[in-house]
Amino acid sequence: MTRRDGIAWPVIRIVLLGAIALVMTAPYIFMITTSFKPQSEVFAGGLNLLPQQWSIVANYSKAVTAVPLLRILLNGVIVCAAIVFFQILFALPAAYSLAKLRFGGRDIIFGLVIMGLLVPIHAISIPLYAMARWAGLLNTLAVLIAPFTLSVFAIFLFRQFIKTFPNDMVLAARSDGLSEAAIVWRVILPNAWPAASAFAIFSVVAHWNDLYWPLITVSKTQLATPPLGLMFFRAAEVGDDYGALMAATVLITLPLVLFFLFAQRLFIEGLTMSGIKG
Amino acid sequence: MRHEVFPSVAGAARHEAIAAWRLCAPTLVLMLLLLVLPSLAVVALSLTDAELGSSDWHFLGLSAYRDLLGDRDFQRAFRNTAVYVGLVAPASVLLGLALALLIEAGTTARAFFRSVFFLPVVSLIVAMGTVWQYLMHPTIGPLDLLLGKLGLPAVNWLGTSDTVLWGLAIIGIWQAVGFNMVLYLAGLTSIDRALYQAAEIDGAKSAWERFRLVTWPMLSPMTLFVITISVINSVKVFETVAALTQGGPAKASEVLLWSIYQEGFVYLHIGTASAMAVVFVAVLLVLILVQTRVLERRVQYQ
Amino acid sequence: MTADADQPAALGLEGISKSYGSAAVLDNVSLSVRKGEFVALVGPSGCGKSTLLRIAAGLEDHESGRVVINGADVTSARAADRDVAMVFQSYALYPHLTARQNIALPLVMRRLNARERWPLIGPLMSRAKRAGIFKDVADVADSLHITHLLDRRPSQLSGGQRQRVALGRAIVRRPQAFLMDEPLSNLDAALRVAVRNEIVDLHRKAGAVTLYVTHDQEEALSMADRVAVMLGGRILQVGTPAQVYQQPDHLEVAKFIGVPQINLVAAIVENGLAKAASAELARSVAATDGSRVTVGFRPEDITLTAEPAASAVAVRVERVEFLGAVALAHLKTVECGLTLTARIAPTDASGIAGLPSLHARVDPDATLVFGTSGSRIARTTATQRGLSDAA
Repeated sequence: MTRRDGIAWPVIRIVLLGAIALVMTAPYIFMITTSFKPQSEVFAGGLNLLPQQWSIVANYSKAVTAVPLLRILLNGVIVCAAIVFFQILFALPAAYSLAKLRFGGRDIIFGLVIMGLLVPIHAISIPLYAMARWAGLLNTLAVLIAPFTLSVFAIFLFRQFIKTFPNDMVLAARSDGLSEAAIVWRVILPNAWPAASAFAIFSVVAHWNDLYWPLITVSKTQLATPPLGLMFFRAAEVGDDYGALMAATVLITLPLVLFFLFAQRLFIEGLTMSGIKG
Repeated sequence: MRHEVFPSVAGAARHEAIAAWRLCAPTLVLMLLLLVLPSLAVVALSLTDAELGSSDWHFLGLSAYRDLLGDRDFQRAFRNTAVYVGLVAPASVLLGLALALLIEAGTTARAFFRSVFFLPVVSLIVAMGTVWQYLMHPTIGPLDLLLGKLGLPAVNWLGTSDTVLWGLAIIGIWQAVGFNMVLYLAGLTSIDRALYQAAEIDGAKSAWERFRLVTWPMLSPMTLFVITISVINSVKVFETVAALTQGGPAKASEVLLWSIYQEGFVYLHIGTASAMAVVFVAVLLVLILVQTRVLERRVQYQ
Repeated sequence: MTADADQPAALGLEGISKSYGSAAVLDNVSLSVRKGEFVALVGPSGCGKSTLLRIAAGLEDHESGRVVINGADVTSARAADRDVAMVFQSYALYPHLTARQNIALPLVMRRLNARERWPLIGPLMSRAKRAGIFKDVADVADSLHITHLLDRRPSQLSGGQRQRVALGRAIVRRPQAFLMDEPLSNLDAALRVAVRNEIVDLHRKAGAVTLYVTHDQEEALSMADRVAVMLGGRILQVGTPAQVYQQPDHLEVAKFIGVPQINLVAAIVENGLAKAASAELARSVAATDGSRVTVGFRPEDITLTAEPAASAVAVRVERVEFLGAVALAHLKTVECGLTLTARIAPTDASGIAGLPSLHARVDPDATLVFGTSGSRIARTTATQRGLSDAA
């Protein structure tokens, strides 16, 4: 026999992790249990988790009706999906050009990419807002999508990735008669799938959460994205009915969390990979 | 690796260049519209006292910046943001590292804990912020009720100007830890196991010695990255302030982005707001430069 | 200087067994290395040799068996307490330390206590000890010819240079045993041969005990005093390089050792004669009539003649490989299409394909015969040239 590690450490580790996990998930626990409680009980205070009286139907129906919650969730999905679609659509060809082609503008464009990485959207929101207003695009889904269709981060990430492709791949495609555009969509995209899906995850999480831009460009509840929709809900409910408020937060948080739980590895690897490569 | 995929024959090179320009065309247009022009506009606006909706404006030149930097409220926003970053960044980095080390220290339930700690990252900030606001409620919030049970006085986290930044920081740390942890996990798993074996053979007997000899040095590049990301993300704090405190109480939680929003879209002083935006970008630039120059030199051995 | 066979083992592995779940990785393995001996543990990938080495080092657990170093049972001791040094396949040098610091590290960990190792104040408190340490490092670097590289970091060194630093780190401690885990497999072929000799030199100069793991049988044969051939978690044979090459105890050993691979022909025993393709391949075989055996003979043991003979089969030349100092003829038997490889003189290489009739002949007293279990079958008479019966 050789030395066997003691039983002490594995147990300590689990206990520590478990305790921290409990603290980390406390907000979720309270969020869900409070969403089951009627207003009176919430205001009575007290740490008991299980409701004395169940008020699920009331809370959740209020959550769904006070603002058009389902519509808002749908808006979020449409906006995020469209953003990712356009981001990849524009970024991939540009990244390919920067990575594999020789042309005069290459350094300038790459310089602009770096500049874009350093300038967050918040800094240039005023002129963008003015543009949107002038174009009559306020309070449309288009305005929520348009400014984000350019993703310098995507260009940067894809460029790094495509640079690792062997030049022979491109040469072979060319000698097969493919045009450069065809190369991008028929050769590069299938091989860049890991980077593309990693980026998609990153983009969806970032834009699903975005409050700043919707806040300044959209005032109609019908067109709100989830963060903005929640703000409207809070305004409508003025801090009273915590039960319904929690119900709303549950419903709004659910989609992405469920998606995450189903595709955990995709999420975590995608976000770390985008982070590290970018 | 050579970037050229065409030999330098004149016709082929021209063909390649034309194709490249064509592929980049949409991006170029967007860059112009969404990046270059707005950036120039912001710089231009920052030198004026323009207001949205009014056509009466004056050119102030650099005195706009002098006024801004001397403005008490702006200085406070600066300070508040600095305090917030100083609370959130170090704590979320260290906690992320600690959790990653704990998870990697054993073989059981790794994927489970990794997902649990990552949940806050994929949860809507505004929604979870709202939940925290309920938790931190002075009278009915579970947090203060718990403190009461432990014999500690209740704290009105988000309601008093002394503690509001702490309250927001707790939420910020809670949200950021998972991401840092996952980055550190990636770093830890990429460390060559043979190094630990060599350390053992060389006489590094305790976990602390192994950490000092192998883990910490090998994680240095990742640490640099995590710190950079954490600082930049915490400088950009906005959602929680907008949803929970609106800069209050008494401007105690007014942070840079909130100031820009208020100044530009509520008070409509787009000149001042633009100047603030320029300062904001400058701050980010300085932070990035400092970190890459100063810290990267110590991380050069990979 | 060779090891004295009567000396007790300096490094002894006794009855080591290990399994992952239900799969047995090591099955009651025993091996001993005597003082001053260089033992090579060789086998294909996955046979368990690296696992055995790590168990000897104390880096891996096992279910049963003992590890004994110079008489002391270290089975329950951890690696840091066993006073063994290890050279890893990937060198495992600390990337953030210079070569000097890498080599010094084992001494720093052992000679300085915790306080003396603190970053800033430590060096002040332990000036004399550190001077001693760095003198030892300088001596080792000198013997390895890497003094000019000491201030570089591993990323600034070539593969061969890194390997020397790894060796230096192992040598500087003067441990009771050296354990080497395929240290040469990351080097290119030419460098490998050169460094091979240096390692054996260092071993001799240090009077050390070395257990060396490799998958390259040529390396094992060239470097070791004794070779242990391992397969499937078991040691099939331990012997001198000559013994393992000329008298393999097991079919698998015969196949693994020797390039090109030994020729193997299935045969049936009849009156003590092993016959295949109407040729008598082995004589005086101690096996019953009708038993199926495998007869083995090395390429250099085949003689090619134009005339048929009792111990010869008719063959056709498929291809000739000209290798400079030696040439190989790839043959196919006319009757059953068996493939054989024969070593021929380089001067015969061009002419051989054109010969009208060719026969491959072996010496039926000198071939190796293996039974269905793979073990070597003895001969009944003692008239073999230079061969003794399998133990």
